[in-house]
Amino acid sequence: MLFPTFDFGVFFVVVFLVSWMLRDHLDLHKAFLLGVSYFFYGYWDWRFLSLLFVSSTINYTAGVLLTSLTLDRHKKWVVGVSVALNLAILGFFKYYGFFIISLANLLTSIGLERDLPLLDVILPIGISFFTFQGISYVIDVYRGDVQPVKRPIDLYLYISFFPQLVAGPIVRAAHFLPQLDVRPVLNRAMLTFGFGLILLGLFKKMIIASYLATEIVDDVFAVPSAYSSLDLFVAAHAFVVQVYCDFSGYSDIAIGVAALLGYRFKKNFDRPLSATTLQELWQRWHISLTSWLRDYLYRPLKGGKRGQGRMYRNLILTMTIAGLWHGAAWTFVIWGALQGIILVIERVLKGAIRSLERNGHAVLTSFIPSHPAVGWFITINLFAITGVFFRAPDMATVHDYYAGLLQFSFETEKFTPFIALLIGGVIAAQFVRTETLVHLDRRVQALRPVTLGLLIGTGLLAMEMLGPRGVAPFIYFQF
Amino acid sequence: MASRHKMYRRPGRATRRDEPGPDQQAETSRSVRDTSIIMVTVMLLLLVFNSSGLQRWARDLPGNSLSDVLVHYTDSWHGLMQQIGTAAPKETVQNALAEFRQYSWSEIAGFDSTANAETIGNREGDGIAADE
Repeated sequence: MLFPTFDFGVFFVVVFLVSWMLRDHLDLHKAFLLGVSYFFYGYWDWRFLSLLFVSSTINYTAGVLLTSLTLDRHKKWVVGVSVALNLAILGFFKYYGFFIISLANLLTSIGLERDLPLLDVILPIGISFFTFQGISYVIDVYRGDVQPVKRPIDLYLYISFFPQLVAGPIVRAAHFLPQLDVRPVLNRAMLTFGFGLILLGLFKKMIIASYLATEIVDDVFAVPSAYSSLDLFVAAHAFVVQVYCDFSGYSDIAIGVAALLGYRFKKNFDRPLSATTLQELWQRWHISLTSWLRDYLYRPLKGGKRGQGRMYRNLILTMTIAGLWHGAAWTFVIWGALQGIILVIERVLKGAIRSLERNGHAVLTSFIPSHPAVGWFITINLFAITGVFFRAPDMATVHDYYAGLLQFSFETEKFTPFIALLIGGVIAAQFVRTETLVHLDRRVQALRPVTLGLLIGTGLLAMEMLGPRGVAPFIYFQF
Repeated sequence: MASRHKMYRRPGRATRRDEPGPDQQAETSRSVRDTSIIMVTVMLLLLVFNSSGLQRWARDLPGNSLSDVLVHYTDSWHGLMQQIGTAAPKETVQNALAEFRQYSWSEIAGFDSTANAETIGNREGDGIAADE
């Protein structure tokens, strides 16, 4: 069930009314939310409900075992086995085909051609998200950051809660589980926050992401050799804006829907396209994933605690895994590794500049442009140009794309004023001051419900009128 | 649990939450009522001004006796809205946007960016021009 559909609208109205009717009966309230979450997931393909159930059961059992065991050695075994089981499920459904094909290619290249068992495995929607949530629960219980759930329903609901189930944000147990212990509350601020985010998310997805996809990105990435360098350059930037609007749009709707049901999720995007370094961009982009990787991969690898060389290696490794998380293809792996390499280069350069300044060579560093606009320009262009790996379906397309970019031809077929308005508008919006938004929110909170309803209804109507017909699935569904 | 993991900075511990007090419960009831009013207003607005969307949704439903009834009623409703004229703004807005999407730089700024450039398809090797 896609968020921007009539089906979801009907579903949500029913869920909203019944869940608030049940708010004084907490167990019943949670059972209802669990039931509708499974319905939401099964609406796409009911066969994978068992997978969701099994994944939750593994993590629940691990939590129970961690409470009953006393020796740290045994606890580590429990954590290891449950993480391995989670990753095995993810690996089979998401990476089986990729690894088998890669292995077959490798064997062929060294003259050991074999018939390997190829299976047509369907990727269950949202598997990367609920697997990571399950892993974070088990590790947090082991670390003592969360108490194991007393009632199984809490964990099953945490893993499957429908707003975040299929495309995140990756909600942490430490943040969400305590919310299940008390009756949910709703106030005026949450109400306007929730509706505001839902409208914003729909606008990002239905208008900006949809038009950028249909008017430039899909065509240019399908046959890059048919377009000029200018079109290729613009399409790479259009894709960054498209994927930002698509994914942050989904996160906005998920956070907004959860808020209207009385639950709070942390923000998942914080104006990443205004970042002045790639490090800053990654601190603002898909925050729930990057912080997950930081806490459960980068830091356990000892991050930067064992010398700079190890830190750089760990950074590249973490970003490469982040790339692989996004998709089972070499293009994603290379994209991730490139992000890691650029992050390392950034740190090396920063270290070199600091070292020059410390050693009294400030004259040399004064020639380096330090205005934030320069950093922003370099960051957004690097992110867009390396993003070709992320969007291109295969390496041949990547090759054609970069070859086309280097032709320096400037006639344009796809770069219209409409596309410029979409890209420019989204980038300009990244620089709107927080105070302005807070002021606007206060004004909206003071409105009467009917006026607010008319405003929201007009917004939805405008989107229905302006958006292209039909709704494409969210990009992050495939992850 | 003295183990190596204590070396890592923790992502944040779970903090206990208190049950909402009477004031928060009263505010919740008010907010739920307000949200319901908002939803009803939105639905009415969409029913009147987006009758074609409703009709399209009903027609896309899997065929059965219930969907047949829905298709019948949504067809009638959309017909009524067309007679009244509430369906017209949607077409007007869509046409205006379609026109804007077609604008080129030359139409906006008064120059033709492609006049002196080689046209797409005439570049060596892409084979599109060769078909003409």
